[in-house]
Amino acid sequence: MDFLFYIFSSLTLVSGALVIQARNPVHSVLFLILVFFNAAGLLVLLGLDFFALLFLVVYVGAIAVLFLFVVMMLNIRISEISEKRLRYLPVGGVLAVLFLFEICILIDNDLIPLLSYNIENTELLANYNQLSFIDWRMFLSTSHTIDALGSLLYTYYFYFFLVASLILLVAMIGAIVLTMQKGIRIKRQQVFLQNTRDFAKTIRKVA
Amino acid sequence: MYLEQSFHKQISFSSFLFENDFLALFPEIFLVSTGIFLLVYGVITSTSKSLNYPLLSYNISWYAIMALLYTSLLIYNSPINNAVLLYNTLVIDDFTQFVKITCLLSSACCISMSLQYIQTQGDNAFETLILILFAVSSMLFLTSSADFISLYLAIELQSLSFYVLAALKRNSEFATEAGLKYFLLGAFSSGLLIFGCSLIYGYTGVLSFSECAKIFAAGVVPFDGIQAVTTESALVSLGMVFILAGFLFKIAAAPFHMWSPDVYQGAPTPITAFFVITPKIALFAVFLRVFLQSFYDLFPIWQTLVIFASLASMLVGALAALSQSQIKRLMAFSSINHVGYLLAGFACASIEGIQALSIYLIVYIFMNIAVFSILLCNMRHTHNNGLPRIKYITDLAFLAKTNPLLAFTFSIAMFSMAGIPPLAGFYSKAYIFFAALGSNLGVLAVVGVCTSVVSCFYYLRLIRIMYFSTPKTWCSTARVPRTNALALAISLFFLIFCMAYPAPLHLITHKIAIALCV
Repeated sequence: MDFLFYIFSSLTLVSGALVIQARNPVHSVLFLILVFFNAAGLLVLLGLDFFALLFLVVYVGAIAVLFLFVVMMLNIRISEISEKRLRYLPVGGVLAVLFLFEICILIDNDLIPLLSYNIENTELLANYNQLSFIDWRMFLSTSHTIDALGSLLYTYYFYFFLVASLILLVAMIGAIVLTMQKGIRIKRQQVFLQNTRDFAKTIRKVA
Repeated sequence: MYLEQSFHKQISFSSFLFENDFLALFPEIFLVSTGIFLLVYGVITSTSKSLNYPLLSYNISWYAIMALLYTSLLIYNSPINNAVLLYNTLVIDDFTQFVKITCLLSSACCISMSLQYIQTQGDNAFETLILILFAVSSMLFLTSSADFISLYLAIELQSLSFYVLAALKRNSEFATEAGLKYFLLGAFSSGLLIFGCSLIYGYTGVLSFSECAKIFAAGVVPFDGIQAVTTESALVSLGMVFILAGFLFKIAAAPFHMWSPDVYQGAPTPITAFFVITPKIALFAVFLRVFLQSFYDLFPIWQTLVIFASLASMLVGALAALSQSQIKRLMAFSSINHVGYLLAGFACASIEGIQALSIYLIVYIFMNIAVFSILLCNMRHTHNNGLPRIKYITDLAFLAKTNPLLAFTFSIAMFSMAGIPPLAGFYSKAYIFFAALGSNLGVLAVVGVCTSVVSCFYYLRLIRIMYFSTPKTWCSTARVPRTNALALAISLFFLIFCMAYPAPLHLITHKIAIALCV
């Protein structure tokens, strides 16, 4: 398992660097997809199978494809990109160093110290031993990710679910308001006419 | 006695979802479902051929005003005023009720001020009003959130509707720029906010504000192993700094203020009024809760940052506004300046500080209602009839001759913003400075007084333009619409007579400050 972890994470890092390095924007989107795949692999290693699939569906299926569309529509010149490559290095480099430090701090700390710390003070140790713990591991029962997610999201945290749906509603209204043109001079797609059009009659041989 | 009773209520309520939680959340449910009903009504009616494709903006804006007023009535008469709802994700107390009512009334005021604009401008997107309704309901959720996830979701809902509202005039280059800029920077700041929340969650394992407060409270837990987790941790303070940065961005405080002049300038004027007036109080409410409840034990760290932001926004707001010629940009910088004073109250983190902050917020809302209800009146210019709005500050010239009453009202609002003694603005500023002095923050008080003197210059310049300049072209007003006149009358009355009888304001802010701190 360790082996797989190292493969996935190093591939993620390398392809993440290549996203920035690639000259052709289409290539960098493809590397981005590779990043998503490797991250999904990491999630599978963590045992979060549902989230891994969700990650693939949402990021690769929707977002990366959207990126590809936009990149292909924009007609960016490659020379323009290569000019500005090192322009943001100072700011980005400082941020990267900061994040590196943060991660170093994070690795040093035990996130949530549970029972496994050393108590050297004997008095405290006596106190500690007198405590009557409930050993929660005895009561542990496992369930699938989807199972657990559903049973929390639709019962205790249904409020979050509803607010998220409101956010989607607002996004939908916003997209429609900003793009829909109302008026007389708009050329519309006549769906019915288009569907009933006969292919054989449309193409004719001229002369 | 009273406290004990409310505590028992809290406990029993958290267990009965269908009996009590829905009862307590009835105003929010009402507002959201009204928004959805109005959306369906609008979509069906505006596309109906038999009704000859009616224009619905005016109609729906009256419905929206009604919905907001009814919701505030529902909150005012709510049977439950003190509860923790929906499994510890929402909280209701006197503070949230007050903030919610203020939000609702001020946004109803915003819509009613812009009725004439909606009628004359011919931009028939009734969805604007629906988006405003959703934004207001997200502010209600925001004020009463007691959990990092509900905080984030409410902020996202609010800012998503704001992005769309800013970009509404899609034919105008400025509006598109405003919307895009707001969207990109707002998404970035939301990213910072959620990163901070996730750091805190990763470190402590809890999301609710009150649980966080328990974990960070030093000395509660007897073991040194766990105590090491508490106050000293770098990661928690890092997460908190991220959350603070997101917050300062959302309220447009100085190191993070770049977006606000462009957005306020580019958005249509009623939307600018809405952006200036309403969201500040909701954001301040929730972040007061976060920082005074959860992070109170990390107080020294965030206090320095807030002091810095406060000083910076006072200075930026005062100095950068000097060179502005467009009135909406001027108002944007003036609101940055006001945010500096508000943050001075925030930095005190005492009951006096919160009370001063809430007084200042209310006065700020009234002052901006006065200013924007004048800006939203139809004006006639002699040099171009095509542009019936005030855009540059010189457009106000000669208003004192053509409509002396309006000019007088505008100057009262300006004097109040500048903090000239008998008006409400002076009272609120003085209260902030006293609170700052009381918490040993003399620097803030001194710099605050200095910047308020500097800001006098540009407020008084507007008055000079109205009264004393003799331009080639001059503006006169059309008849002031009735709703604007009403808003003007109420806000003017408040601004002038607040100093004479400040007791109700004082009492109510004291009550909410205590509700937040206890």
